[in-house]
Amino acid sequence: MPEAVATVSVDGQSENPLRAGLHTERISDPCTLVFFGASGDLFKRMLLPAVYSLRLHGTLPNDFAVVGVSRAEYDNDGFREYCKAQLEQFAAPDQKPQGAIWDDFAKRLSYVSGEFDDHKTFGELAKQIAQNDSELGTKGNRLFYLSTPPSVFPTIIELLRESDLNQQQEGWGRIVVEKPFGTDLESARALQAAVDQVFRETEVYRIDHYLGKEPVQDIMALRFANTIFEPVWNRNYVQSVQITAAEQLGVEMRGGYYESAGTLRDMIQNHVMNLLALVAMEPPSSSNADAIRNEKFKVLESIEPPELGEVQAMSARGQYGPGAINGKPVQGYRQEPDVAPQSNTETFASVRLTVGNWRWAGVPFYLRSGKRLAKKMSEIAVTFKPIPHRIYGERTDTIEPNVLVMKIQPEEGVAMRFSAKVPGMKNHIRSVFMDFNYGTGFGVQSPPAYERLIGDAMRGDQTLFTRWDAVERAWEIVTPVLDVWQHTKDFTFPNYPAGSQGPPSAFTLFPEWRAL
Amino acid sequence: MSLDVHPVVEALAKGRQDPGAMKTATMTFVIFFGDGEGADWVRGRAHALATKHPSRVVVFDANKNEDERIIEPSQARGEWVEIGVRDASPAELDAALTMLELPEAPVVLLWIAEALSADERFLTLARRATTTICSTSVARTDERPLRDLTHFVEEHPEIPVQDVAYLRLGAWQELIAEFFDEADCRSELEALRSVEVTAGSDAEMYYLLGWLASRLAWTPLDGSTFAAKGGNVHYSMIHDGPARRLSKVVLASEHASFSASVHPQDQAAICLDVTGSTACPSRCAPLHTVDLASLVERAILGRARDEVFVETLTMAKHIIERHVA
Repeated sequence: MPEAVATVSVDGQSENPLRAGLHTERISDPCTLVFFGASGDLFKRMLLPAVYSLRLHGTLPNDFAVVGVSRAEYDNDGFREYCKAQLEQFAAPDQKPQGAIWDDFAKRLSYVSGEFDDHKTFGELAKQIAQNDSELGTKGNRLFYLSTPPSVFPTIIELLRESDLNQQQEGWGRIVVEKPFGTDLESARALQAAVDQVFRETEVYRIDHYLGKEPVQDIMALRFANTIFEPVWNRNYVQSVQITAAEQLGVEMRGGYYESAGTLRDMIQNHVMNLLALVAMEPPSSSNADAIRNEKFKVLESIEPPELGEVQAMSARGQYGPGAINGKPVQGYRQEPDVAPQSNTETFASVRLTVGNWRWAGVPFYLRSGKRLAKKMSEIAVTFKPIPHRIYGERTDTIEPNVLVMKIQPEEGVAMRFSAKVPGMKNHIRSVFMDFNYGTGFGVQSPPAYERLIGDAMRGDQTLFTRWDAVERAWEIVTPVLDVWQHTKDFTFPNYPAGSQGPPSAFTLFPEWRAL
Repeated sequence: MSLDVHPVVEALAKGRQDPGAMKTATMTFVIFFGDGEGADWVRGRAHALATKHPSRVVVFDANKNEDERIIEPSQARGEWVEIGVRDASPAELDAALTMLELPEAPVVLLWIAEALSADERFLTLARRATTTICSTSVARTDERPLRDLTHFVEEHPEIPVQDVAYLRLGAWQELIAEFFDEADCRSELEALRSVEVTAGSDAEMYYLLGWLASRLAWTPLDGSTFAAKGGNVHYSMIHDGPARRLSKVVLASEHASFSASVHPQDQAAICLDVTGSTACPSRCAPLHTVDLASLVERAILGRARDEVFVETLTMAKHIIERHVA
């Protein structure tokens, strides 16, 4: 008999020897998930299906609990029925609630009905969490998710503190804050001050669901898991960078919200600025959350906010009028519900920014986002400089610069434009696109962003969440533009028809926008 | 009859000119069928895997003659080639693979046949592969394929081989480990006195026992006992339920019992019960990633050489020697 192959000693103080070498999915500690706004749209369409999917994939701990908090009146059984009905409607076809796993999931659901500014609500919540800890083994860990209107964020945070729910004898407490984090620089700082009173930065998860999208994470993989791009990823080779987040949808039923927001706040300050940071950041030393977030912040710090007098030259705004989407007539923004007839709110925003550092000095970054545009399309296009000396091609040929496109939605992938010789006796050169799609490349749907982000928050991984310094800096960058736009009425509004490429002023700012 | 694959190569090259042809490939996925057993089932799973990881799938089927071929060159998500190799020598297989493999993609070998160490073709193909995967419970439900694998690994330690029968235990290992994550339960590991494993085939049972024994420094004494630091541990294997599936694992100490078992009404769920001094409420956990496509994917994406598996395999061999003796 040869010597025993096991080398792991077994004693009460050591690590669990059965854990060694397991192909473990990243599973969080046992915990209670508390969703404020549990009767709302976000919870039923996105958050609940994401949590159930995590359960089905085995990435939730076995000891977990979900507590819904909202004004709607349910008892625990009523809330379970409600959740089941929402999952029937909104969960993926192969993730409908059934069998033993649903039964086990359902018994871990509970509900607290009440107002968000009522201490009684938080007293009930504290009792429920304590009950979960003792009966469901959640060990004092709790994750609070604010999926309510932003106006009640400060109230909830304050009452969490007053009820001592942010502090526990054992375990951790974390809070997930949905966007928008403030409506301007001042309100963001006020909200942060409220957060600071109650939670440490390591406990705060500011969610921007764009960052949970697989293609956004692929930007880092493309840059830092390949060697061929990094040597040309700088001002020596890059002519310009275009970042587009275009939507076909209008404001739908969110006219009231949009009137006080606008595209600059709703998209550019968060989603688009995050994409800029990912594409322009220096290589981080590791995949550690702070290593990445430090580099992202440095990029934003390198962008000088414009002077008020510069705003007109570096930005363009628009508002959609009546037009057609997919051949069907649609109304203009000013005709949407809850929108003022003479509204000055922009539904299209475009800005030119420069990153003042050694790598990017002089390279313009063009950002645009808008509603009711010709096509739904989010992408980052890096246009490289033209060839320095032409030795090839017929005189009539145009040799176009290389373009690398990172496609985020609806297509997810990478495309590269390069020049190739047209087969034949002559040396004709044409541009061709090499196109890689993650969908067909890997034949699998990307996991929904919320599933990834909720799982990360439970595991304490802040990589895909925005740190306060970056949020604040992004507000600082857009604030001069916001100020000018708020205080200057644009008499050209509406200045682009629904279903078009956007306002003419966007093409004055940058004539080479890629077609939607 | 010689194994001439030039016509296949030409058909594949022609197929790549089609507008809808495969544009992306992650691997050359070689599947060798030595026995008819389970072939259709494996084909179905291989299709699922190739859908997720676009591949050139090359099936060498030793149940068919050399002139029996299927060529599907321009599948949207991969190419599929089946070639009869009933009389092909190892050298011919090697040459055919040279012609058929994608130059920039790794070769992954899935070996579906009873014999391993005695089959030169396995050694030949495994030497060409970045990842080699076999299944010691697909062709037979007794311990012989597992014993054969241990022999092969001893003879060829330079070739990392993974076994689907072991990979299938992943979800169970996770759940069993979780019983002992808490410090107050961990001390029970030393106090364990019995292990009972129920499965439809031997390989999974030996692997589960081998994994526990290698992690906990147990030594097999005879066909039903391990020597352990805190005292002997009795073990039993119950042959029951569908092939290739574990259905129950019970660990018991003097003070507590830890049971994981497939839910009687829901095969996709495992019931977890702890009774005795560390009792906690019953729970249900999902039994995920046990299908062949997921397991092969795990093998491809995981470490080429898994030391825990190697130690488990070695221990399984010792257990078989004691048990069968």
